[in-house]
Amino acid sequence: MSSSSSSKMIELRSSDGETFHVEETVVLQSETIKQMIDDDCANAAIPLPNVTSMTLAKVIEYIKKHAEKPKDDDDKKVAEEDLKKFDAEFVKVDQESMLFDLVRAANYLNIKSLLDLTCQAVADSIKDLSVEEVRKKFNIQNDFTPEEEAKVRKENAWAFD
Amino acid sequence: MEIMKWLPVKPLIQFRSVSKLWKSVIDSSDFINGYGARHTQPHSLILRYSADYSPDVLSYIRLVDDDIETFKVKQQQEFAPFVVSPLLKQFLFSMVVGACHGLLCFFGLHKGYNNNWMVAIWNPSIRKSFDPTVLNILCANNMPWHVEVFTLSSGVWNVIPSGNCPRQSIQLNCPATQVVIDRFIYWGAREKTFTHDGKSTINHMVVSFDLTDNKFKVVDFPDSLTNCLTKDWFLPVSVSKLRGSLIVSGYTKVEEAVHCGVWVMEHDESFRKLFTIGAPIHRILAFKESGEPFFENPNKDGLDVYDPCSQQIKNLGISGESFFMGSYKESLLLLNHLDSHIYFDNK
Repeated sequence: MSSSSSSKMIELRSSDGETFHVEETVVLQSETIKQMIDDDCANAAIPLPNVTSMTLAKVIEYIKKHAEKPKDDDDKKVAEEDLKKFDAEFVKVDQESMLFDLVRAANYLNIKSLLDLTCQAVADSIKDLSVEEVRKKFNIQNDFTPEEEAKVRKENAWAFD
Repeated sequence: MEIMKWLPVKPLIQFRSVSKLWKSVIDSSDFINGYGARHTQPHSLILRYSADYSPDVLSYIRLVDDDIETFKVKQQQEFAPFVVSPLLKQFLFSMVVGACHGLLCFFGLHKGYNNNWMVAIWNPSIRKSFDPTVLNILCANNMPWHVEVFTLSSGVWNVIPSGNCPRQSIQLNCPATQVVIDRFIYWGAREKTFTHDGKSTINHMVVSFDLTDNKFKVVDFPDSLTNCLTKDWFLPVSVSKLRGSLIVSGYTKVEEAVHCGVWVMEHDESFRKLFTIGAPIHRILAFKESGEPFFENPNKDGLDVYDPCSQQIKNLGISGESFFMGSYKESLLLLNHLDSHIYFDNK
């Protein structure tokens, strides 16, 4: 994986105190960390108080994979296909809470492609749910009166066919 | 809330009834306008046509821009046509003026309202339509242009000063083809000019309208393009759009055979020839993102697509007539407007 051993290593510390060493070129995919490095705040370990070690390990797995550079054009096509497969597998997590943790981490670390990927995965997982299932899943109190709710539904009755 | 922007339109409409907070988020203009900016939707086109050649039955389907071969199959399987809005059903006759941001703009004769002409805008993905933001252009033979613009926010028609309009000898091609690119609307246009010895000649051109300052502009063609076109009043040029660039197509004559020449306008308003289709194509309806144009078969045999590399024309097996195609994406625009509401009644 470490194609250029000369690259500078950056130390990241998760909320539960675990440290990770990642090449600077890889970690620059995070706009947040890039900003810190640009501002010269990355000499010691970068604390990430919003990201657990489990989530951070996943994020690092993602950015490492996405940092791989294809050697030539032929390789590029293969690599693109490979990356697509990797992304599809990456969002198949056992626990759904992990997906939400990844959305939050991608948002905090400002890694756009990871945010897009995980948001799409969450959206896919809820798009076929009924209104009741959505309330249950996100623990949302229905604050409509039955009349109000009926009215909202009636405004676009076709969507409930 | 970031995640909600990634949901398709239908579940979003359902989830308005989850809670008051969810409803207010989805109904907010920030959300409605931001939803359109989502970049993940595949390039798709909306197709309107009268299926099986019966003019009373107009179908609207969405074609996702992937393998052409699957169009036929998909049309029958997953492409349930859009449900036509009640307002549009009241039109005795209608034509599509244009399509952008997931909206279709119509002009037609409304059954009620003393058979008045009416303009309507329809969002097929949320099944709403209304009476909207429009340009009313009157350009008749050798009459000065009279143009009025109506915006929903102002609610009134404003006359555009004649100094901002094209000269009166210029006429927009009718039926007009138009495209919207960034802040400009483009039309194909033509002009009859007389030389000193009394002979007349026809010039083809493009007219643009800048939506920010309400000014028209004439884009003349370079000689290289003009010389290719047939100088015939009844064989006008048409405009379409490919990857954000204006495309001009027109009739060219190659040894007495009529072909269709296709040019792209570059940023500096110069024109570059793309290819010539070896058939008398009336007009290009739309492009696949890869650059392959769709058009109506010259022998009334439905919808065709042209492959510029192999120079082959392929029939798509979608039979019918009166085809319209425009770019399309799912959109929430009009969600916060009343359905079939008539804003302006021009008695």
